[in-house]
Amino acid sequence: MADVAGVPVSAEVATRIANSIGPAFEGFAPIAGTLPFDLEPASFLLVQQAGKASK
Amino acid sequence: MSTEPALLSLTEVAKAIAQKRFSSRETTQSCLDRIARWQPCLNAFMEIEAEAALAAADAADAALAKGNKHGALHGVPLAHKDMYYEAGKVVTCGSRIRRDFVATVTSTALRRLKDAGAIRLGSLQMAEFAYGPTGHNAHYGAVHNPWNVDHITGGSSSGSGSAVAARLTFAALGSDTGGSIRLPAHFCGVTGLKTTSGRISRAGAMPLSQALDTVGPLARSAEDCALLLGLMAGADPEDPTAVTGPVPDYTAATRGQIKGLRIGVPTAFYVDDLDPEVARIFDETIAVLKGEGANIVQVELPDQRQLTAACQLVLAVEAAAFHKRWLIERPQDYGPQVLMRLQNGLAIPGVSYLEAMRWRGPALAAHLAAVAGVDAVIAPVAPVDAPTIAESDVGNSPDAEAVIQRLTRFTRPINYLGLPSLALLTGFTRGGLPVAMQLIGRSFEEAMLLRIGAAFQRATDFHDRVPKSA
Repeated sequence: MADVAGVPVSAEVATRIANSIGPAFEGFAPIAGTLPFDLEPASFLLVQQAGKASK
Repeated sequence: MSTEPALLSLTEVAKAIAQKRFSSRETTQSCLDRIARWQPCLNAFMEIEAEAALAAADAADAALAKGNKHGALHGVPLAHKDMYYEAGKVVTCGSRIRRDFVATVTSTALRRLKDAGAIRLGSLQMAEFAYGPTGHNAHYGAVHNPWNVDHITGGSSSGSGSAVAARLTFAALGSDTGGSIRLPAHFCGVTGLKTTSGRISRAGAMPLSQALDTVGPLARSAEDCALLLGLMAGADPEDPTAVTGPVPDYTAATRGQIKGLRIGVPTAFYVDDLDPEVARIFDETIAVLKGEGANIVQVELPDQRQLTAACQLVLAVEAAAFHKRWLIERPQDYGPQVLMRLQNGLAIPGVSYLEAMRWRGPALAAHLAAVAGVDAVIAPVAPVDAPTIAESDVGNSPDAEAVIQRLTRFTRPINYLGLPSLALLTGFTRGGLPVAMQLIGRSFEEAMLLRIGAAFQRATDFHDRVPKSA
């Protein structure tokens, strides 16, 4: 048995997980590791609210 | 106007009951009659509460006779996706794990509809824990498409799409985390509104992903969606993510013309690899909008593949986190596909998740800059019409993730950006299956989408077509 984030899974499942999420990592690769230091997740709400406030 | 109350739109039936042209009992019985005919072949309802619904209808009629109208939906029977908590009711969330879960609170969205006078017909089927785009359910069986029962409904709001299309309920709540309102609207041929993140309170709604979950209606028309949105939107002390401020008059918006509006057609991604029938209907939809006076322009959007990937990272991790305790204690009680997808989220590093969350702001800013010159963007909901139930029953096979990604390719970027999107039935394939397009707006601009959608529906009759009984 393997252990993924504290949940026991079989080796077969561990392999399947790796295959399933691979495309998501590949798709996000151009962004990963490029974000500026000061960027907060809350910047999303700022952008969203800025659009609302300007109406 | 139809003599069968169940065939009216939500707006029409609410008016007919208020004006005593139909009683709530006649209306409720009409829905129950249709449910009795259709349920055996659709499997759209999780629970049918006929006696309680008729009793509530009688109470609504008695109140109206005394001059007491409770609200805009007085005496209108509705059923909703079985993930909205109602105190004292079993809410299965489409799962075995919650087969006997009795809610102790009532969700804000449901309570607001109830406060407007709506009565409860029962609860609607859904994908297990709202985590599936096809309409299959390993515990309760697949929900079937009323236009052809061999085909899928889409999910996760599978029962909502099927029941609204077959005129078993006038409207239904769905939820949209990666396409779960728009896909059933597309495959079943109804109108579905994915709202802006924060537009409707999520208090008392089963969570899947706190960043991406949205509440919204499926109904027969943009006008009906406008009525429901107006009743449900607004601040809620139970949900700090629900935005404050006045709620626009969405119904008034549906009366607007679209002459002179600028509607953007993406130059890539949403127009790539379309099934020829979907491509034909996309072109015909654009022609109708042009005929109504809209200016159609091309828009170059940022790379949508990155948005789709970011959405997948966020959704997988947040869903796994919600379910982790049950993944340890009760893995055998999940359906194979849902278990597989939840396990996927366990293997995504925290840094990758947070990078995807941190990028949301810049990604939304880039999108808003790209669409600055248009009032809305139009795109297909999915590249294909409804696959058959058999061909999309992929379970936890190695192909499963690829099938899911293909169906949700055009919906996930919108969830990641938290934007509103209105899915509209805009045509039928030569095989008789419905096809919808989505109007994508800027944050909190649901009114613009409803205005364009209503104008399209005034110019066409697709939304009035009713599937023939199986």
